[in-house]
Amino acid sequence: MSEVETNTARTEPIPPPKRRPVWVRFAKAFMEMGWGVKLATIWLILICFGAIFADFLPLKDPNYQGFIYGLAQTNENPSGTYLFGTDDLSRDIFARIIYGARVSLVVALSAVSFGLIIGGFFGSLVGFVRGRVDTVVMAGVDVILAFPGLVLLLALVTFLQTRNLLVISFVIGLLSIPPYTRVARANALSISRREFVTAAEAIGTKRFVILWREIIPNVLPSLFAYAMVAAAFIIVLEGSLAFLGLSVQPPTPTWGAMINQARKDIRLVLHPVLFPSAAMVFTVLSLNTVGDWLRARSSVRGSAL
Amino acid sequence: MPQIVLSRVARLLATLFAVSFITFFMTSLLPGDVVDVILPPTAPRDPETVAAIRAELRLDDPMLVRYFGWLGDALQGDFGRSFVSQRPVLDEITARLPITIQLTFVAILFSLIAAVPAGVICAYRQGTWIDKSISGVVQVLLSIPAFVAGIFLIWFFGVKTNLLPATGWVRISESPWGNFKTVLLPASSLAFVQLAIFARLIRADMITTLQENYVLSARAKGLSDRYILLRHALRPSSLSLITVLGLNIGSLLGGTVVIEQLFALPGLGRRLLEGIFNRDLLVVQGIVLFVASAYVIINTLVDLVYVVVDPRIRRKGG
Repeated sequence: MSEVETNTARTEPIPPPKRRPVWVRFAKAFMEMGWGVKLATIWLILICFGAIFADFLPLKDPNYQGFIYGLAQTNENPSGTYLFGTDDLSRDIFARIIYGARVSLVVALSAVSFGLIIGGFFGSLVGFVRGRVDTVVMAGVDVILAFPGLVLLLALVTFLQTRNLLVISFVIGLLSIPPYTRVARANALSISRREFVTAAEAIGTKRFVILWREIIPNVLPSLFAYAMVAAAFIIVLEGSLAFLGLSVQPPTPTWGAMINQARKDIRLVLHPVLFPSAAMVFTVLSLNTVGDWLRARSSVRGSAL
Repeated sequence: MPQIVLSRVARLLATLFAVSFITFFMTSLLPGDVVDVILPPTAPRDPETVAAIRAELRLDDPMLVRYFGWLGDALQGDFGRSFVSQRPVLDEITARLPITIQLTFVAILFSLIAAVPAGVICAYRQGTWIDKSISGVVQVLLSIPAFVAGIFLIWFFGVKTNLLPATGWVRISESPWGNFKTVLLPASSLAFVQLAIFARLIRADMITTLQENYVLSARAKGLSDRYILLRHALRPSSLSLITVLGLNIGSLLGGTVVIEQLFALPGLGRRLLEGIFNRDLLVVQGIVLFVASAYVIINTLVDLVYVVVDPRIRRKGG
């Protein structure tokens, strides 16, 4: 095992590791992935690319109803013109899936950034400082986590009465803070018992500097791995909300709303429900797969420290 | 041991108090006048009706008086009444609850029946093609949202082959067999994700346990693999399984809302949605409070079971 090698005395000073450009590091990491993880990464990149550049891609208008203007029928089968066919209002399903990715990704991104920045910071802080702050913050976290996620979200969405992308992502973002806080705290607790933290304390480094330079950088890898899995969960959560008709208002396409709308015609056609479901399942599967891969990587790095 | 139980119960009470506080003040997020939200658009808005509602909801009292009055009523089982059906919220909850409980229970049962053998086999044959293929399937199941699974189950069993009813609910008192047929699809759709979570957990747990010395010594004694797996290795894993099961009841309860809507089951989750769509404030508030409290209480019970079952924790605390 590699732990044994680190114990042998080094005579030469260790050269600082070279920081390669981000894309080189990404390419290196990509080459180390198994084929499943590679496929998952490619799918995620494609979905993100589609969602960001949807306006510039040669797509049909996602809200164009062909049957009014005489160009498409309702529930048309997949064909050359309509790659995934049309839905019950004769709109192009392919375009709606690409545009629908926007809602899923914006909500997931908002949840991840709220969670990483606020939850990650407070979790690392209370895991390192402990004491009364820890008790108070974690009591708050426990109370929010006492509500089943979807139930709390439903209640909040009801009482807020406005449902646009901003409100939905804000509420889901706020609800994402507690679980990240818990994960960050658990990691910070074990990291603050490590030798390098004791060493930093012994040489009189300021507490805040230790938090910033030693704790947080070491909490981040496992927090990123968690963020992937949590983003998958958030996409399902937003999908459920949209499925119930309580996410972003129509006609904005969302995967959950598309599935909900298409299920009413399930006795007639399957493809309007099949394609958005597949898009959601592939995205969630990819996030889970990449998350697992990241977790395996970050824990290896952790034990080698 | 009594100290642990006492401290858990104290924490439970504190959490329940905080949960009720949040549930109550969530309603103040509502924009505009509560009475306008509650009254159906067609209802007459004469001063007497409005004044009666304001008095019923204590809207003219200060916030804290309102809260404690509401909490006192709720503790005595009075969650107010539905402004749409005019029935007490508690009656609405108890009428719908059995369906949701049965659904959750059957879903847990299904997922455990599949997850335990899958997890044990994967751990026992770790790294082989059996492990890899089962783990692959589990990974996919983990990523299928319950409502997507439900739609395709409806499509296959309800439309394509017509083996099972696609929607609806038959009470167990009417016909046990009909009840079983109506609960089969919704419970399975809820079970898939849980199955995946449990199978992964058991696999990971068992792999660690199988490397323990006492497993080695059991092997050296010549005990059969089957005996070791089921009697020595599975038991410690079942403890963490209970914890995760308790925590997952939260996501299951959320899942029942979606699944009851999809399969048109008259359960608690569907009542919550009806309340949301009708802006039936007190029903939403009552169900949220009820569900969250139930979830907190279940997890405290799980914690206590853990203390009773695991001698290591008992000793540490006592």
